[in-house]
Amino acid sequence: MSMKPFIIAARYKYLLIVPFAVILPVAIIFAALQRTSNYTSWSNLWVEQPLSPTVDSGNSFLTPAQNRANDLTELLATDSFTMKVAQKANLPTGTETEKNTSLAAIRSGTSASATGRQLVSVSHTDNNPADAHRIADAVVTTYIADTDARTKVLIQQAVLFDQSNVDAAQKALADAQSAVTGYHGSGGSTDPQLTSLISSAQAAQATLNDANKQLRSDQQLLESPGTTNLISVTDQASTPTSPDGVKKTKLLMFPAAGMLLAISLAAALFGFVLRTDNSIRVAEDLQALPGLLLLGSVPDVSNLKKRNWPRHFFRLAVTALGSTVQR
Amino acid sequence: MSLEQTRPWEAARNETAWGKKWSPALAQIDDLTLTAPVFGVIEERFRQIAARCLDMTSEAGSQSIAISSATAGEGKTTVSIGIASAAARNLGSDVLIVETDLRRPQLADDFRIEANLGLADYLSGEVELEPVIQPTRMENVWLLPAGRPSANPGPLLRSKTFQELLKNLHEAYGTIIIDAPPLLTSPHAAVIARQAEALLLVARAGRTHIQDAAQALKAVGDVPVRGIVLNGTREWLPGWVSRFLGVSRFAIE
Repeated sequence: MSMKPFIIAARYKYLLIVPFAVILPVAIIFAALQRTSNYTSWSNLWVEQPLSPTVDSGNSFLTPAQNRANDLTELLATDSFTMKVAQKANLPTGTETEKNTSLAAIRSGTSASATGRQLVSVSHTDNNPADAHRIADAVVTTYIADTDARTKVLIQQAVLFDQSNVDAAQKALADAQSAVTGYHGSGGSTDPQLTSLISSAQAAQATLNDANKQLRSDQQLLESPGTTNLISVTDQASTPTSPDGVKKTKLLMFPAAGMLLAISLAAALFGFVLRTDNSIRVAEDLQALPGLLLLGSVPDVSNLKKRNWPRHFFRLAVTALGSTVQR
Repeated sequence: MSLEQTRPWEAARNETAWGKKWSPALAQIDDLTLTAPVFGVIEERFRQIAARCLDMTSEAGSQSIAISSATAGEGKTTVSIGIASAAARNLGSDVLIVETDLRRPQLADDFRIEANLGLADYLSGEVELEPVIQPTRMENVWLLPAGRPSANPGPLLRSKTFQELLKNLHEAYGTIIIDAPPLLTSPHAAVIARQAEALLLVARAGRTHIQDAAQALKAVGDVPVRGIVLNGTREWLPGWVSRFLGVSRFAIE
């Protein structure tokens, strides 16, 4: 299908595109540049790499900050954690509707991202600056408390596990020692059976030592106050004083979406008009009038009357460039 | 008409200050004659149109053609002037443009002629013919303007005086171009068209609808229609783009 008739038609109806192709994107860009009425309160957390392998340190391929940010994001998806945040922030949770509204507000407005290897930024955006501050604060406090509690439980479990390891190692050592004592071989110190039993007893002793060491370490972790506190607040959330600026993504995406929408709408309108318009534009259109001879056509020169000199020079430049390229 | 000969015309155009009194029809002819290198295409198009609707041979006798359109603003006056100009240049005989749209006279203004009296006044018997026929600044082109606007031009245009006038004009002018009112909006257009040997229909590209053109053809009945001229066609690509691409500029060759 030749594009020529379409282009010719477009040359007559191009004004139709103007509202869509120009005004709409401009309106969208203008809207995108408007400052929002949202306020964001944020807090920075410093997270430590756990010293004990007993404490879950997350995905070893990620940084501590990334692990913690993922951890918090996952927690925000749970009702129990979000509910604790809502209660901490004194959000209404009395009725089911209030609860849902509060949880939705927390989830939609809160974000956690790693801003460094050990730095996590937690923010909350809300229409009300005081609410933004309260919720951001509540998220951080709840998360730290929750992490502490979980870490403590993990260490308690580890101590219990270590204790059972120590018990097992002690039993194994006692068995090995009694085996050595009860052996009456004839080969003296060169008896291979005796040598093997002594080695087993020594290995059992070593295992017991390791188990004891691990037990003591985990007991220390459990008993020392603050050892489980692997997260510290470096920047406290505060009440924002000015609304948020325009985001870069919005600045780019809105005009792009606007242009796409404008082109789509213009194309749709154009297609509609071309389908419904039955004006005579080219010689082929006169086929609807049989027997009428086309004597000739007179080009439109109305647009040449008032010359726009900047545009004229631009066109001359393009023409010159075209000639150069063709040569 | 050479470029040199048109210099005074250019001066007159400058004096008039385009924005002050805008005349689309004359403006096109103005540009056509004055800036031949730019508007050579248009000049050539009018010459072709004139050759197709008029007998351009030296043996051609007096001939007349009515030029009309379905509705107003489609460019019949522009085409009338263009054909008159081309015929005058190529035939070398006098060409008279008769403006018959008595309700909305325009040609005197287009030619920037001070003409208070015209066809309507002659047909009313108020003036003689000679003083109302005006020379124009185009060589061999004369104008019989409409004169004072008439609210009821029907009786005048249907009168025997009008028929006799056209007959008499044939004796004096080689070519008579009747600039008729629009066929669908004026009930007298068909009557006027019958006074000419043939009718030429003008349509404005992108504006005249097929149905209107068909209706206009129906309105003229048995008047022989010489053909149609498509006015205001646009290049399928803007000139600078087509020059860049090195392709043909015009939609209709």
